[in-house]
Amino acid sequence: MRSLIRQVTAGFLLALSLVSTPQARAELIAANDDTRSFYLLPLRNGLSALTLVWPMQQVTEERAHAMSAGLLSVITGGTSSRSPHEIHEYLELKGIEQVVTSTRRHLLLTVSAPNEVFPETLVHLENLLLESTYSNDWYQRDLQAVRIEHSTLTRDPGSVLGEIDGFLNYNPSDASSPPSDQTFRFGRPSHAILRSGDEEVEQRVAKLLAKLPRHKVNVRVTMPKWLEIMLGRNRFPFELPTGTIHFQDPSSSEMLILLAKAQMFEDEPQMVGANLLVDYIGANQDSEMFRLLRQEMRASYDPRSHFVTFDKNKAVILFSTTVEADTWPEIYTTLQSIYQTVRTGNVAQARLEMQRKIKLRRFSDNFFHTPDWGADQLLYEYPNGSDGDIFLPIVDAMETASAPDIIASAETFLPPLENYLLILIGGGDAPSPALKSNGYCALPANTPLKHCLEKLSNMGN
Amino acid sequence: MFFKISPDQLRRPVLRAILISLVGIFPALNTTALAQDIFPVTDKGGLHGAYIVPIEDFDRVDVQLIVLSGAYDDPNPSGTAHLTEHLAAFSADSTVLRKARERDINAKTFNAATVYTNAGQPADLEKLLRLSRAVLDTPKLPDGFAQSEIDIVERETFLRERQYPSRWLTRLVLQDLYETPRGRANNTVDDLPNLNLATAYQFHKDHYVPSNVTVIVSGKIDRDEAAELVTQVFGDTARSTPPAKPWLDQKPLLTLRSIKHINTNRLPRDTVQFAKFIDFEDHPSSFELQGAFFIAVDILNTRLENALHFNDVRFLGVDMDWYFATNADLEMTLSVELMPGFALGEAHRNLRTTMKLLLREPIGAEEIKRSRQKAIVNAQHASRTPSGIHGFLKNLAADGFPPFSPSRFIDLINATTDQEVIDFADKVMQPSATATILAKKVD
Repeated sequence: MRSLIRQVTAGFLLALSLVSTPQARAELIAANDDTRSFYLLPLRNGLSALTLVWPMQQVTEERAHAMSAGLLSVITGGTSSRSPHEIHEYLELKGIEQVVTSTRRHLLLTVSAPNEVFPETLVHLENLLLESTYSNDWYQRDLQAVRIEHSTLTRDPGSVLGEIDGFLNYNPSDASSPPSDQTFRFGRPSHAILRSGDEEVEQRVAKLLAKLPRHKVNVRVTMPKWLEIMLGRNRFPFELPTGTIHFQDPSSSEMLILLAKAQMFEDEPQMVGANLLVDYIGANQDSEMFRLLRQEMRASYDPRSHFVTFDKNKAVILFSTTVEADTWPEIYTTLQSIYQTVRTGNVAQARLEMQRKIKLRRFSDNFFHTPDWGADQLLYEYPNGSDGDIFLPIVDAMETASAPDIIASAETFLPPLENYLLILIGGGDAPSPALKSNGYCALPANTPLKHCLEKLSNMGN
Repeated sequence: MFFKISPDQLRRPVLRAILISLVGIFPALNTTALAQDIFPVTDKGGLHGAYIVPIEDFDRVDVQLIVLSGAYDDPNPSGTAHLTEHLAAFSADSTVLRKARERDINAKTFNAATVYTNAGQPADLEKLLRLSRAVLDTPKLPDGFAQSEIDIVERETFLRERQYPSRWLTRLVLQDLYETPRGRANNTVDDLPNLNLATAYQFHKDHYVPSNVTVIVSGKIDRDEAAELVTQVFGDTARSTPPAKPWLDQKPLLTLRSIKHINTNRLPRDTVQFAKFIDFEDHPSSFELQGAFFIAVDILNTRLENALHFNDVRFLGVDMDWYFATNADLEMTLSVELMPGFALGEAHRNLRTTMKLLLREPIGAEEIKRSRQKAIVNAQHASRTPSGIHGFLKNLAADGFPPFSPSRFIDLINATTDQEVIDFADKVMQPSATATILAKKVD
């Protein structure tokens, strides 16, 4: 049933793409409607920031890379009045930063600058968006820069996460890959998020947004809510397969062991509870993975956990460690034991409370100093905007989280171990038959993880 | 769902709501400081230096203990300074019997220094100072733990090699430049099997001595109280002879022009790696040249980026690094990744031509003004975060000089004359020892 839905959705998406992007060249990325504007509290470091958000739904990874490279080229590749080098110099002279990021639904540009130069920064931004003149060669170079290296080359948890992100967020590749001479323009954003507190700046932002073009043909595709929900869920089920992916490198003296799970939570308190338990397992030097794998077993330099928010109440949980190849089965057994121990509620309450304090401080630092973090949180909570008060329930949940309550619910908050995907990259013995019984894929050399992620997913179906 | 809201309709409730959601939890501290005064501690025992830097803008305090020896001071085997850093940090922190801390100790081995940072609440200053002081004690670790830390260092070294393959290529080019795998170059990976505790403990005994250590306390602190605490904790340290720095005498032949070709599967793309050594032989110390160094290097970097990135899209990225040693020896490394189809030989010719002609157009007053302004903006930006301020304080202090805060750095930049900048840049671009590696990616 799932595979049928996938095919139906793919056909629908292709039709939508043909309607909304009639030109292969100079494609306009823009919202159909008015921009939804948010005015959040000013940053606390003397900077102002504006995040512009364009929709990027239901695209392939290649298409997402093309759009990101296109936006990078627009903001760096020159305008009718400034060369790329002059733009670069201008940014350095004024202390302006431009950051391009993406989520599963959006492409974001965050521009920040000292308060005193922010008004002219907006003029500069307007010039970039309306007068961009980047060349195809420039775009090709940016396209190279945004592509992700294979995890088998870097053997780094961050690279694995990048490949998992591509699998979870984007449609399977199809024959209609973006043309190599693609040119993008970026018009009216779907959202604008301002961190300034200066009313004059707010007015200037409104004027800037009004100048940005919309689609000439206003395409609006609507569908029944039940169909939207069904297609959305099946299009992006937010699931990783279970089983084992193994890239064997007999020449390597090390093995990267990585457990991964894409997890949906019922609400923010549950997500916060899981986050703190995962941190307790491996986030820092006070964690169980550090204490046992590094300090007692002396097995690894970098044992750690990662809790990466992908959307409202959705996160990817990772546990990773790189060990001497011959020892990996023993270390993996210990890692399982650590997880099971915490999941059964065997947790030191004071140390869990310490993890909460650390995380709460990080929330504060991020919100008041890193504007793209705040923009992400806002979009997770209000992807379609809001006409009322704005709350970030994840912050409130972190502030009010109770260590005893989390410990009591550990088994509910953390998924069972057998629901995780095991990824092994490096040397040493092949996985045992028991580790292959839940699904197995041997990853060929110079091949992205997606090859095995799709294979195991299809086996599961 | 689509809808329309005007900015004015939305602004007030949003501000109020976020106020409830976040400001109630996190007290307000605006971090827009511009001036950071630096006060030397008078009664500092035998320390090389001790400084207090009050900064009201961050509700925290940081203690940086800087050992003025790093990877360049490695004996044989390479990696000894790094291993010593691990042993001293764990010993000082009693990590095996550790108690939970909100902020972990941060320790890092740089080329010419090893820096330990303990951070916490202002009320914790004495504890943070005592944790820092313990770094100077002979490491005491349980049986087997210290020996097995060698395995941990090995794991970390391999991890960094994979994460940053440019480290490996830089190591190779520096070995060619200095014609040795020791001192300013290193042989870290090959030397891993030879790492041993005896050499590490001897390194600690020789280099972790008060006269080779600077302490900087920065954060929300009272100047006098902080100085008194530094005196309490470090005042009993005795002056001693600082260790010798043989790497400062390590200078390549002026006529060296090494070029090497290699094939590798460790890099994502074809890469040209270049290194150049400049001996400011008329200057016994780099201190008086720091202002000219920062401005001139920005001018040279800007011209190189213009030629190798902005004007030629066949170069994917340009990465430059400059190290100006305390004795005024300057080392430049430059790495360029190539787009597919751009031949290594042609890229190398372009690089050589660029270097040769880099100062054909004389440096003008307007260009110096721009680079001066960029340095000031960069310093102002750094002053917005604790880590940015740490970086500034550590930068000159790691060479044994008094630390510079961002605001002091701005004073330095403004005091530097145009002619000093021009003379510095001219000296850098005169013919001198170079080494180049043309690395071809193979599968």
